[in-house]
Amino acid sequence: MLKKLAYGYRALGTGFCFAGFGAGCVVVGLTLLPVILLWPGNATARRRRVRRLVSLAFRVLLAAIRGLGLGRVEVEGREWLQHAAGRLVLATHPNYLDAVVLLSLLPMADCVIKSGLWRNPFTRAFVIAAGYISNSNEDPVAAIETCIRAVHGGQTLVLFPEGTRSTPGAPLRFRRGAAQIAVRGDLEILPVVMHCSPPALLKTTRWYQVPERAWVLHVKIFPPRCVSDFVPQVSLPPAIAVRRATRALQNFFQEQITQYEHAY
Amino acid sequence: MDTQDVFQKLKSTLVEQFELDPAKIVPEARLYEDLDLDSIDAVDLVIKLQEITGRKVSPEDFKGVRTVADIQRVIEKLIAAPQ
Repeated sequence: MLKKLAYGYRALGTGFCFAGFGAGCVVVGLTLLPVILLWPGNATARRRRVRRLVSLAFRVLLAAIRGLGLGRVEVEGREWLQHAAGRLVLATHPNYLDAVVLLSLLPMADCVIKSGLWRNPFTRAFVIAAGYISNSNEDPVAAIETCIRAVHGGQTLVLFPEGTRSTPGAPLRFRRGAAQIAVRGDLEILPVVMHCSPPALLKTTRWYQVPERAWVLHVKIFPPRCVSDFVPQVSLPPAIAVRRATRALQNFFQEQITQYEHAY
Repeated sequence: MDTQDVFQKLKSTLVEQFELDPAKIVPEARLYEDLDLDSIDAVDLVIKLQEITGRKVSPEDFKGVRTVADIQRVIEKLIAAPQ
């Protein structure tokens, strides 16, 4: 009985957070966002302010989730975040909150996110104003160049190589986009392994299907590594280097996830 | 180059550039579904074909290309066309 009540409470709380997120988007979008956009400053300064706002809002959201006892985020290796500038942050994608967590930790980061958020009325204004990069495949070559340029220019670029939320327990399946960017730009990678136990906020479940207990999202940040550590590219054709790097990265992340799965 | 030469050259290029299994490269193999090539690979392939044929190849030539045989036809047309 008590267990059922607790479950119902967390389902309700989760719904409240989703509703709060939507309401927050509308309220902030109609009040703070216009002020920030109209405040004097060039385009870069405006974008930075919007990103700071998004990051702050995400911190509030995560604090609310924790405060309501729905789940919490545990960060390991936080010190490596200082080395995120000019690097490619690659992360696994177990649930909705990964981007929220990473952008709350890395307020200035560029992020490649799904193009659907440009059509979503709640998020549209923010993703445009923050200048995030859409994963739409209209011109993949240009998209990859944009990403490489951003990192070479000293930006932090956050990317989820799986391209979509993963299925817990199933082997990771990385798409090649992340390796395309890393190999062709000869970039350094800051790996971030995220694992949620018990699995929550999945692609296959509805929002009210909460796990049997409050979840913990483990975030482990690894020291930066050059892409050539993953795959020595001695005069390989780029397409082959990209394929090998994709496999090597996938194996690296898979090993870490497997450790989590054994531990929890 | 006759049709067989073109096919062999294309096959060896695909194997060298994309680490594909030679056995999978048959005329009817679909580039995206069967050979797992993506749009970036297509750009690399166009550049490579330009080197091989010595002709200017534009991405438009590859509109509607779906299979290995389709690429072969494009190459043959390019070679046959006057410089």
